[in-house]
Amino acid sequence: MSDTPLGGPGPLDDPESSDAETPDHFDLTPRTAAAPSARAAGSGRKWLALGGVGVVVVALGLVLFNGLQSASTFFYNVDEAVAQQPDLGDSRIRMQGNVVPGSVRSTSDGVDFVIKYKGAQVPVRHVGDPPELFGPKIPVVLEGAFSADGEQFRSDEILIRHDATYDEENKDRVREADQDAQQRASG
Amino acid sequence: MTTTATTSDAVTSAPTSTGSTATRVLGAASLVGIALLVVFGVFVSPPDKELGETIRILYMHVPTVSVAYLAFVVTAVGSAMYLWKRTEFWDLLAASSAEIGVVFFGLTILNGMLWGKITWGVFWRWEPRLTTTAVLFLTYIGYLAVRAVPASPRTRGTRSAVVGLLAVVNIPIVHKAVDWWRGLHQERTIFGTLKPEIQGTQAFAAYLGLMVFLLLFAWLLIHRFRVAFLAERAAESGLEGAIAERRQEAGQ
Repeated sequence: MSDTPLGGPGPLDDPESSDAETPDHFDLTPRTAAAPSARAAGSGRKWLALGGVGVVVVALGLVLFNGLQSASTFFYNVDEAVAQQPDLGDSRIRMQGNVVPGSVRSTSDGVDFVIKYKGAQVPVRHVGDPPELFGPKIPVVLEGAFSADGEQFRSDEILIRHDATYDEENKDRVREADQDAQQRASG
Repeated sequence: MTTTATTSDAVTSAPTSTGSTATRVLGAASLVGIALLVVFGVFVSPPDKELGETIRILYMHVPTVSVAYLAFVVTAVGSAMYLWKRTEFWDLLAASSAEIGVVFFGLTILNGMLWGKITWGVFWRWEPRLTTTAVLFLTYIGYLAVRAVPASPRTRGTRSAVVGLLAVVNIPIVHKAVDWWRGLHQERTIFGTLKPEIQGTQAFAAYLGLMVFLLLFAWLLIHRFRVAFLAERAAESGLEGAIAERRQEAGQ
């Protein structure tokens, strides 16, 4: 191995190749190695392991894509939730929309408000403290379920859904979701 | 450890330190850049209209994730080149880059969770962007795990190159997850829409962060690659020492 250019990016020296300089009578078996029969099986195991890794990664991708496609209902918009309420019943869902300005009322254990999206509105009874950014300007995602009669949404978690729109303070701007909702409501 | 004549030759021909003029310049530029970013991101740029002071997390969140993506792409290129050229350089480049990528991706998840807690109200939800992100993170931890499995350099290089090539497929999925599926995460802030939704000093701070972290990545990658190269030489000299020992035993 002394003639191998160690610093250069050449092919790595293979101690088992026919041009290896080692005479036959040297025992080069590593002292900690398993029995020779196990080493012979190593090549097959390697390809098995490689194939296994490939299968796992591809399967992971497929599962993920299909899983996400069905999980595209991470939330329902208010109008969709209202339309599908008979099917949804009182099962736990997420619902997205804008808080109707002026509808927010504090209660003893949380807050009541009305949420709207594309012209559909649902009164909400929320139990718990709303997050800091909660208000009519930013879309929210509520976690909870419709009441038995379907007239009210009972939420126990409010998630703020900020979009990739950033603006420096003291500039006038209307948020897209809000704008959209208002256009639908008036149109 | 006593070294044979062969290994001391190898050591003198190989670098004895991971530093060089190039890395010192890169390092100084990175550190100055980070100081600038702190000044600009924390003090000069104004708070956001809605996010308030928390907008400043963006100046770190976007750069860390961009560097992580770049690092994983470098790993994929290194993996492909290794399978083609079979040279140590590409294997060690892929490995070094993956390690840095995992660090920066972990940082992205951490600063993202903190940002999520104060913006969304929760640290984590299994929504599309976050789910695909978790899978990507685990995949590259898997890549490092595959490298840690004892094997000859060639076997290890082949195995990890295959993983490095398959894993990169997930990056466009993570990147586009916010467009393809409904979730909590905001849309792409950069490399996204033609009409940028971030302007002025906010945009400047975001792009400054990106430039600074790219310098930092280059600096870290060169050092990590050189460490990997020296580690390979150390492993080889250990092997040669063992062979010399056997020669002696056989000669007795």
